Amino acid sequence: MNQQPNLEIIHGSSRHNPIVLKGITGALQQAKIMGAFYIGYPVIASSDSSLTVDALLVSQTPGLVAFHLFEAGQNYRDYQDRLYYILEANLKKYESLRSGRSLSVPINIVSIFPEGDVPADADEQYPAASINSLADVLRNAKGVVDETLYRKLSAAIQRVTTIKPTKKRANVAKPDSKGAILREIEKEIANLDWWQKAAAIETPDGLQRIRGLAGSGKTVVLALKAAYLYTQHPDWKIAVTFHTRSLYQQFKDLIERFTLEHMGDKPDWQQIHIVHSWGSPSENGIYSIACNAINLLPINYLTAKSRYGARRAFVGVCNELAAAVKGKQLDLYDAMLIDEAQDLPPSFFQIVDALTKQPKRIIWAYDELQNLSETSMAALPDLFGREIMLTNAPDAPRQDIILPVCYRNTPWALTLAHALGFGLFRKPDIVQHFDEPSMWLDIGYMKESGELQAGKLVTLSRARDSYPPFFKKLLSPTDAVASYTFMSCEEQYVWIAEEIKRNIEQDELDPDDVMVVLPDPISQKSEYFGLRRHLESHGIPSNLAGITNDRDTFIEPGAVTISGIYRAKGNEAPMVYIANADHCAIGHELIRLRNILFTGITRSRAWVRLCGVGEQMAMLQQEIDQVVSNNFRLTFTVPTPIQLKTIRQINRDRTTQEKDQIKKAQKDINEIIELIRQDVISIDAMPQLQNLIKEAQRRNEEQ
Amino acid sequence: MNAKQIARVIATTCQALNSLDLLFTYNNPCVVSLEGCDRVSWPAKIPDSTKAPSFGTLEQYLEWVRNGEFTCLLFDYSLIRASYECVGNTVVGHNLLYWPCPVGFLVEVSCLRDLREGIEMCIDSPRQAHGVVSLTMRTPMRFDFDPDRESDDHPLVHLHTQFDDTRMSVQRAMDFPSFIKKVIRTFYRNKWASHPEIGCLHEQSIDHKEIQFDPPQHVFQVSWG
Repeated sequence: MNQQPNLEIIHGSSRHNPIVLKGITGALQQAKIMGAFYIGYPVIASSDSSLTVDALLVSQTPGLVAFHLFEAGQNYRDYQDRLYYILEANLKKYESLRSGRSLSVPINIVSIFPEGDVPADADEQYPAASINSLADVLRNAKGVVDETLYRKLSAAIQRVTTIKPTKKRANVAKPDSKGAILREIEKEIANLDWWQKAAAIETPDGLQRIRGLAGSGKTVVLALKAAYLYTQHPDWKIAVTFHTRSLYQQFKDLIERFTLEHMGDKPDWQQIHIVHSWGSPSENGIYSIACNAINLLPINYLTAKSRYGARRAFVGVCNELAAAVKGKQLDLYDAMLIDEAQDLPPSFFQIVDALTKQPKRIIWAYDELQNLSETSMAALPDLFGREIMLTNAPDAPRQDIILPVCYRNTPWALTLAHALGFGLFRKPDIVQHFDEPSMWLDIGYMKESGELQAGKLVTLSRARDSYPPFFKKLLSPTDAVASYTFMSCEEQYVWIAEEIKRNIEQDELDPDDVMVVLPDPISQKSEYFGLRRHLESHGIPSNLAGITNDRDTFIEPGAVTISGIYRAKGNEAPMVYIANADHCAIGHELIRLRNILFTGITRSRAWVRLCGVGEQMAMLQQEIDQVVSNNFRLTFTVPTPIQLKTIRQINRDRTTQEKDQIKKAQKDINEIIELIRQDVISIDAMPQLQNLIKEAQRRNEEQ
Repeated sequence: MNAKQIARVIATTCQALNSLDLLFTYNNPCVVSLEGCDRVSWPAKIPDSTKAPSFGTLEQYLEWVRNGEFTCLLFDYSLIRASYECVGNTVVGHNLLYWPCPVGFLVEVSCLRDLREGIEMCIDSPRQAHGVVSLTMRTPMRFDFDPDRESDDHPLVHLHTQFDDTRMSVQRAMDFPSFIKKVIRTFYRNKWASHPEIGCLHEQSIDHKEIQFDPPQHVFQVSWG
């Protein structure tokens, strides 16, 4: 886990000389000051304009210090007065920082001058210093003695932005209902954490990668970053892009809110473009914008599907376009921010590269484990088609950021998702694993016992600081995660429909708080209609996302969302039912099947119910029981590289030809079984069958 | 039959068609109380959207698909819209529309997005649509029962086809299962033959104003036994 250092430096965007800022940072470090030092932050709206604090130190000693970096022609005393009043007015908004009618935290302002230019009239009321005299001047600053007050001050500075819950949940009447719990969770999630804040502000003059588990706040970070960059550079053209269409509204709302808070005004949407990665004839997307820039007719999804197939449609059109823009500098944007980058092909990044001006401020965020078997996306040179390196230099904005806290999923759901996704307790073999075992620590697990090394037994659990404390306060593991095995599909649908009815009528959830995930893309439509019939019998409306409603809509107010796994990606709901989870228990292409399960479980913001039918669900249930009975600790033997190679070969995705062969073999075996049952075939009379049995036994023994 | 009963008949008919894989998707009918009557229709998102402002155009088809303004979409994306108005147990009006999908797809349509994009391509750039979607432009057929506006040129029950102001006199008002059975039997003869269950859909008798089927000479008219 990342630990907050003694003096954490958050490098925001600054127009000032980096040598001066480096000098201040060095002076603070040399003075062994502990706290947080923000460069180019906060941006505070005043009644008529906005003001960016050149740098801000939040510490107990020397206290809260705002730095003003003197520029020729300024009256430093006037500037200090303005800065003081704006900061005071902003901090006074927090009840926790007020004492009666006054602010309980002293505000110190220091102007920094070049060596030898420090004005002679500087005094304690209007302090000024050079880099060399800074430590001396800070000795006179008024500190924040009270530790509790200091914590509240830190929280207020980090929490300059608050995301209000989208739902008021006025219908909640029972204090302990699921609706009431959800209201509490939504209230808690409304505050940005330290990691998110730092990630949002730090913007290098170049590439930046933001990684984090699903639900770690990547979208919020990107939205805040876009708003922050816009407030700092209103003349910049900034693009925000993503692959899930339903994210559009979320980005628009967040950016508008952040800009309003920081600038006191709505953003100019001519400068910030929120656009889908692809676009359509009626709306711009990054792909179609790039096409237009080189006078190429954009290809739409349907045409691309006819050329490249459904799964490779976007890859196909991006590859075509990347070849066309290769070597061209289209220079349309000063900064580009990409969400859900794991869904986008390298050629898309090459298009983005061509669209972005030097120094190529391209920021991309992605789910660390969207594809469980891969610990990273395409290698950086493959991503941009040129040699690049990301560095986290101590005195510069970080280029590679990991968001360590998962806000969406309960620690129990996430642990179960990893256990089932990796098939850690599957017999006879696990399904997949990281190449590098230490990756478990990066994604928020801690080692309880054993060795996190290939071939060694280890016990892992979610680290205490990898999830917000409210989950343990508000939820219990048995309620957060539950699984059910049914005798038939019909029985399963009846149960799910009744449970959803209970969720709405007794638990005080809204229908749109509930999502049902259907793991099998092929049968999802017929499964949907099977479930819908039972929901309708209780008067509960539902929609099959993207199939029975429009593509831009995922959740319809007042209706239960039922979704295939691909549509569910990138979306979330408080209560998630995974129907027919047995589809993912066994089969060829087990890595893909288990990834589906992982994605389904991690859609849940509070409660998840795994449902399935028959023997295959019973097999899955055994794996689930192992996690639950071990109190959501994962005890397993880390596979060796040779074992990993073998299981990857067995569980890999199959080619179309291989799929056809498997289908034919399954059909033939079923026919043989039927013929044996009818006594048409005698096993003894067929040596091939004896060989088949022997081969199966040999493999079992090997395992 | 009152509005609620008619809604139930529409819903069960759609469920039956869906179970035979004859539907792409369907909406549950809803009952809305209007001034003096109850209306059964699809869940209308646009107020009073039971009639097409631009009859038979691609734009109209696209708008209805985009907004989910239909009772059901058949397996070939043909649109069915059914709307009834009732006063108590008496039907005082209906619109029953069958609109064959105006385009043919040369690629698989897996969701409404594909359908919408295909239509959009035909509207925006027919040349680009070549090889993906082809225009078929078959005419919609709408059976209206409209006693309030009955006149010489506006028969009590009539069929709109080709043009919005074309009205062929129709022998009688129709219940929803009868309408569906006629559509399938007339336009999807293979399906009719392979799914004898459709023939068993229970037709309902609906109470309505007495209809004198007495169309003027020398115009097309629709009647059935």
